[in-house]
Amino acid sequence: MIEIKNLSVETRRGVKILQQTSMHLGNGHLHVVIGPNGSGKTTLLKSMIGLIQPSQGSILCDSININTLTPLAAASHMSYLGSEHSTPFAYTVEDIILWGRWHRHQGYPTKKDRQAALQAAQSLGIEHLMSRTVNTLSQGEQKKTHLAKSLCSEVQHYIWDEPLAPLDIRAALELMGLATGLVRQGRLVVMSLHDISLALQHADSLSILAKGKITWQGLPSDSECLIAIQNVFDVKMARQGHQINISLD
Amino acid sequence: MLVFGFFDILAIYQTTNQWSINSNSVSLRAMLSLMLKSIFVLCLLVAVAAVIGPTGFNLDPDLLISIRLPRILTAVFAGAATAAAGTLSQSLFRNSLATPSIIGTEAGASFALALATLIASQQGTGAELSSPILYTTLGAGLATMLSLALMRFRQENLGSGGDTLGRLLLGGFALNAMFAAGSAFCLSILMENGAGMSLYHWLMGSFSARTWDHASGIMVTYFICAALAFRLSPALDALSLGDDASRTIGINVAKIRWQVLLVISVLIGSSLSCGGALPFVGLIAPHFARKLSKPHVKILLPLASIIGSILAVSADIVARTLRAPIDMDVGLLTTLIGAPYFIWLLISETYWAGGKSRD
Repeated sequence: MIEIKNLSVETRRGVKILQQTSMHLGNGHLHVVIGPNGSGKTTLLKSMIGLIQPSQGSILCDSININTLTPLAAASHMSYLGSEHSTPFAYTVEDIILWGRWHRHQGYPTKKDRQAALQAAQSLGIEHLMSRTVNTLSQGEQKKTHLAKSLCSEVQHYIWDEPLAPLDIRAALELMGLATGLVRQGRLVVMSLHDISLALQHADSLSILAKGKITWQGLPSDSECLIAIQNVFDVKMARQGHQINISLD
Repeated sequence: MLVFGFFDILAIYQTTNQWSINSNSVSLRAMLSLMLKSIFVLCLLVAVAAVIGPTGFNLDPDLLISIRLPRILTAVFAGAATAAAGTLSQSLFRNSLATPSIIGTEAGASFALALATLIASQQGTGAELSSPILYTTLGAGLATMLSLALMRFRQENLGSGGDTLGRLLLGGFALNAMFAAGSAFCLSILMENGAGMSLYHWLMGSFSARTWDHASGIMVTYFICAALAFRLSPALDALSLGDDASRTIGINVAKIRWQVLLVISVLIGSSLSCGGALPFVGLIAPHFARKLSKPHVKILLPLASIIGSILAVSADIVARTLRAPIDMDVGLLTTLIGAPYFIWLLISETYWAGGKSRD
């Protein structure tokens, strides 16, 4: 369970990136954050795991203030997948995935850790790449490696910043399936997405961010949801049965 | 025998070069045999160094124990310490060019030593310092911190966005120039008073007239630092994920960074205080080691150390014999080898291609 109370984030020069954001996210839940470029999605997700200090408000994870936790304690509650994915040296896919379980092994992985890493790789279909050097792989394969790193952490909360970005359509659908699987086990998954139709299809709840403020929050099946999306992105949307058509005007 | 040793290194390099394409096919056994081979080469070199005197071969036991052995051991461990510091700073900066002579660590330590010597001589306590390691460590630490701060200045995340390599090299260039000017200033004043010669040789790097005190000092410091670095090595590996990602998997990035900074400073400080600067050993040895082995600091550290020792001892042998009976400055020789190697690294296309995808 993650609770965000009146969260505001400013840059050092006083530019407001997030203003008065509040959310209550229960377990067993897939929450998707959507919004135009520069609306504050990444800032919101980074503050949720304590990478950014809020200028106001607090984030509670299982009723503990996340900013009071040590990195190790925070890592045993939450797993994060960010957008920067590159390693300067020739580490293998297995090395990277195993680092997702750092809060368990702290650098000395056991057989159990290796098994969990292999399982995570198998669920993403990259087990054949385990001994490859990660910086020789394609963007999508690197993303899958980092997704496997997050998956094998076995924590209660998963926070993924645009996990689908470089993935092909099949991999994207499979990943949404994996997220749904985590949710069924009672975990909380929060992700930001750019693909609105996938978001509407899979999300249990949805937040729409614009200019650092949440303009709408609710269920994707809600009739007001489409109107809110249209307003924020300045596009036209129309439901045709199960299909949603999106156009500029 | 020296020639044999050199060719042996070349042979090891050639037979193992194929691993650099996919370093993961390197098994633990292959790594062990590589390390044993390197140790063998090092032992050969030490034996060669022990019997070579200023006038050809010379085997006087007294001379061996009281003069030559401490000198050789100092060279072995100063080389190892410099190479280990290079390996650590590569990981700390997430860049394989970020080594002590390039980011300004060595220059900073030299400057601190020169300044302390100058102050001591002004106060009339003589131009010889009682515990130079204090000053060199302090200088090394300050310079590394400055370099790290320059690289991270207005950049949220090390290694992401921006031209990190450019920042690193330009920052290092500025720091090196600044500290070199400072050292030259101190040296010129000391020279006027006729007390600068020992400092001059120190700054240039020289193992001449080392005693057992020097040798045992650097030996103990090296092993303590290596043990600390060994403990930090898994976290250093994971640090390559980037600041944010390594924090979110549970690593206290700030704490690790301080600890590594301290270890690097002590390693460079101690090697400088007992043998003077060994420019580029900290670059070549870890670079070579990374070509031969897996990227894990735990394996790299001993391998780079052995290669660093080999380089330092070979340089010392050349320094003693090339213009015998005059001792040349070792630092000059390592620079003569190291600087071209560095230029070659910069212009070799593979480095930039790799560097781009890595940054």
